[in-house]
Amino acid sequence: MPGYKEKAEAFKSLGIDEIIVYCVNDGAVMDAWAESQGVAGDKMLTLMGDPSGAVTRALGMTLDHPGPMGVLGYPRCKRFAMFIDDGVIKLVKVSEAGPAGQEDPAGDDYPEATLAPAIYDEVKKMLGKDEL
Amino acid sequence: MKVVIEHFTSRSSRRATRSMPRSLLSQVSMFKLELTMIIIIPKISSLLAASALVGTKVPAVDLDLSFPPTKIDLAERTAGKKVILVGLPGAFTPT
Repeated sequence: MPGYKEKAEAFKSLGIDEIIVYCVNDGAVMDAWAESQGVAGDKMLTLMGDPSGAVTRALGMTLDHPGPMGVLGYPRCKRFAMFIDDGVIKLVKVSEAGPAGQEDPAGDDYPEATLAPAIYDEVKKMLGKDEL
Repeated sequence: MKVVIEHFTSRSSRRATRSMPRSLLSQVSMFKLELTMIIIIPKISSLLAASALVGTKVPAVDLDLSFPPTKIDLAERTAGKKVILVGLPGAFTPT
């Protein structure tokens, strides 16, 4: 998340209108996290909650591996990032294993593919291709 | 995937299987195949699941903004806009 805060302006210059970060937590928790990160009320980056997991299920992103569940308590959402253009999903990256298949269901050890720098590069490539 | 296959066809295991009777050999290779599938299938299926989303519309499901929550329909919110949507396993995590 801090990476997306740092890159928010860079994403904006690519033509991205908004970055939404969500977790299977309630809106109060997400507000508190936004406060602590200094992004409360930010025009580019908004934190939201999916307390029932409905969005997570609809996207097929449920994280219910016993490892993370043992710590987090209930099904959460996988570590993923998407690029959505006019309501259509254009790019999906999920961090749920290491590059050589290492077990990492929550993407804690190998989050790189879904972090802001990697997504920025991917989206930049895609938008470059679209417009040329 | 390459790493897994290489691992199970390493020189030492090939040497071991050469001297085994045929039935045992086929059992060993079945075992190797099963192990490889067990390791690879979840990875492939999740990759397929993720790539199957590309080109589809985001679901018209609500995210909660603030508390008490304002319901934000994901399909409405992203209509006519370029949006990055990030899902994370938990709030207040460092990455």
